[in-house]
Amino acid sequence: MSDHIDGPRQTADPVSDLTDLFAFTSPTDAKRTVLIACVLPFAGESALFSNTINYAFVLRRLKQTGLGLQAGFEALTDEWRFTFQFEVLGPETPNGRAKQTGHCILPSGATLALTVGDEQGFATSDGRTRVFAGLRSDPFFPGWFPGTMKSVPNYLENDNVLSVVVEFDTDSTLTPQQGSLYGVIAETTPRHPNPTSTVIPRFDWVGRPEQTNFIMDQVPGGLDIRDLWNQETPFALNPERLPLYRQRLTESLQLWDRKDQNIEWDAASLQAHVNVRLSDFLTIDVAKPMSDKSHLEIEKSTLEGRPYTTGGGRTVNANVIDILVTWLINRDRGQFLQGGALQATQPGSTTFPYVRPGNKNMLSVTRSVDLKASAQEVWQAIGGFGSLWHPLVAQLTLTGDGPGQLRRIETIDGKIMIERLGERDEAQKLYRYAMVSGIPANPYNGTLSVQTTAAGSSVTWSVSYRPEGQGDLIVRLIISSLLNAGMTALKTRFGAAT
Amino acid sequence: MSVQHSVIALPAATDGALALINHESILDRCWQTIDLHPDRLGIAAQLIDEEYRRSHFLADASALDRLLTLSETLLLEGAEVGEAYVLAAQIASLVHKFDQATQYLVQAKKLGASAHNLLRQQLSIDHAIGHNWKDVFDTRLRLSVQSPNLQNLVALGALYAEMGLYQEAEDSYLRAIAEDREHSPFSLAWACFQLGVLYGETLEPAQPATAQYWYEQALSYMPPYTHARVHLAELHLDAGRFDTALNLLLPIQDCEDPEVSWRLAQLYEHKGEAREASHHLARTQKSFERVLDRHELAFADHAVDFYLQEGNNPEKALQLALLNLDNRATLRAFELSHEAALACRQQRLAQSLADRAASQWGHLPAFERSDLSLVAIPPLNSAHSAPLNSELSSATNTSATPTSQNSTSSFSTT
Repeated sequence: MSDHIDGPRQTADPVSDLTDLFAFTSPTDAKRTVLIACVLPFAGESALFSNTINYAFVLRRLKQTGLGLQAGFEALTDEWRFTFQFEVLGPETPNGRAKQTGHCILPSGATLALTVGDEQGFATSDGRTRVFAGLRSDPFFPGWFPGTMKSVPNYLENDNVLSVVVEFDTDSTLTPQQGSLYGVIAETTPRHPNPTSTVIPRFDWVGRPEQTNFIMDQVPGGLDIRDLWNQETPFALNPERLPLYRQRLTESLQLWDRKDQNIEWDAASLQAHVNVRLSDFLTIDVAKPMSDKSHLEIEKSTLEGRPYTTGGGRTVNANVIDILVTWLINRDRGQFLQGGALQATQPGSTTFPYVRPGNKNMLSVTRSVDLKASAQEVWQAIGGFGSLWHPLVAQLTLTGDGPGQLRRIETIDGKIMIERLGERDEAQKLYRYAMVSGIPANPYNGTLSVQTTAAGSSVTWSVSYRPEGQGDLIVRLIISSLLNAGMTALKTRFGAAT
Repeated sequence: MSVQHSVIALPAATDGALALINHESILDRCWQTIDLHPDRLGIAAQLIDEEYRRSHFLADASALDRLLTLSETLLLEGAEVGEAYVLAAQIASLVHKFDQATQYLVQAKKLGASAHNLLRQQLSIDHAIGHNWKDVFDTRLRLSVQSPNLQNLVALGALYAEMGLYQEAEDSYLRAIAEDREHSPFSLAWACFQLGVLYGETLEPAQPATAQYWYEQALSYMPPYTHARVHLAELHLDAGRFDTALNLLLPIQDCEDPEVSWRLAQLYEHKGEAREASHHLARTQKSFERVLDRHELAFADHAVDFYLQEGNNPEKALQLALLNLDNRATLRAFELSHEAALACRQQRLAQSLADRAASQWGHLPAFERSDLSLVAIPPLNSAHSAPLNSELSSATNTSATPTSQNSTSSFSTT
């Protein structure tokens, strides 16, 4: 994942886990620069920021130090920092939970107050800077498993993250007349560093996407050095550890290059690539055009010994994984390696705050089981709306006939459920039904189907619902237990297909 | 044994209320995701962590129910995936079904699960059941040196405490706190709670003031931490500070953890409010029956204490103690079984249990401090404690770090 859970430590407190960094020129106003960082993979709808963590963007002006085999970028010392800090929740109000507040400390030292989740964001009085913080649909969409290079649909579909967004007037903030090429990183650091700790006070940082998970963690048998990397000081890696990182990057980039059996990166160019990767920041030229395709163009052109032509950066909709793996594997000399994910669950917007609101889906539980018996045999046993096959059902009575038919189920522990048949398709071997009463959910729609497979048959039972009167954890347990018991009984009765 | 408790600067952490909101938000989201994509084992692993937090910090026994459902789902959907069996083993361990967990690990290995994950889970099982303790100790020590993070250091501290090496246990816990890099209030509260248990329950004689300090620190990180509230309330109860104890328990009185209602029953009994005491005792009885019905092995040892005391059912206590002993033959399990056997006037069984304990654990410093050492007849060929003590002492010296050496602790034994 872009930087999701990039190290053992990040799983301990995911609210400090930076998943992604974006830097681009606003598509609606080329004079404004946008920075977005995401944290907390798998955030739920109520997620909030930590009150003890700095969420910061840092920009430094860059100098190209060479082209081709001498490719390199040097980060100069002038620095622009936007730091988001958040507070604990105030007391509950009559309308429910208090909103989380916070502020962004701007490069000038001024602070801009904000409320988490406010879609409009908050702007300085002169309008030069605007900020947002809150729950968003995860904008990342990986379409490859890195180890096996298996093409897969977006495996972060429907996920959410917390995002911080800052948009600012480029000229007055960055003075690009003195040089328009910048390196950008995002970092999470302790707001109140542990006074007794002997370790470097940093939780996580991110520059280019997938420096850690896709690159540093892809050497079989290699020690997991992602935590070590995440505690480095951005723009100033510890020289003592540089050989370790250099070796890991070299091994990893060699493995990537060999994935298509062709060697596109000879030893010298691979070392030049390693040098560029050791300068781990998003490169962005605010004076040049940026698009969904311009990600890594600055690095690529520099390594190929030619002037870059775009602003590089990373837009919300850039397919960074496909761009990255194509570059690593065939150095853009072969076909573009299009993975199985074409876009995020909700593609980015062209207007502030550019990342979309969090996903709120109907909840669902689905179970399926592959059986040795034929679809016909299984359907005969379970396909009737009044079939008595489930081990938790003690008694079942039907009222009426056809769609709208009611079944009254008494479970073995004495509970009563009433369900209404919506549709039954004998040819397709499926029926749909809705819960009338018995489970604290409304709506509650179920589908049971049997399909023919090479080994016999496959049964799928799915329920989509919204909890009512009980929390989701309780309702989900009830439904999951019901479906699991049914599927397990079918395996016992008909034998599992292997 | 006298101790002046250590004073260290406690690290900042995310506010407990915020962390709890995020925990619940992740939990909800992960359940939604796993039901759409039951093959996403990373989500399943996150769910196990979050549900375990729920079980440990909020004493929510339904978390264990949901984990068992997750295990069923994993094995339905991932029948040919080794890592799915590792996760199922982790869940089985959490409900103390260690035999089943071991079987899952065998299957996981056959299916090619990663050696690292297999080792980690086997370590957890061996530690819990008191098996291969020397290997467990060596591995825990090695992990704490390789990765001196809070998790590894607290786990090592707990092992030291079980072995009776209290100075080392304290050092390890304090170092865990000092070296914290996560700002997670869950982790820090856990480390503080362990120190509270060390001072309040493991040490003889206990040091209630120090235990109180650490339980209070645990609650400052995670205010709803049920076990910390119960243990702290017990200290106040013993000291006659009934209202303070009551204030700790009332906010969690609806919790289904039987220890909460049990403590309330004791509290009202001390206050002379017999009706309230009786009400809460009946609740405790029902709560224990309910959790034992669902997760007998996970709650057996807790229930033994209850049935030996206010539960007034020594036969049931003995039955549960022996079940627990059969499941995990730790020194604590022997002590419980011995106590229950004596309560049932089964002297021969009690003596046999003490002798077995001596045979299995007689070489540990913890055994010397156990009441069992007063009655056990050590077998002739049992390991002798003195050489082992020096062996452990030598091993623990190798783990010393600048932090632990510079600890301000004045923990000492007399």
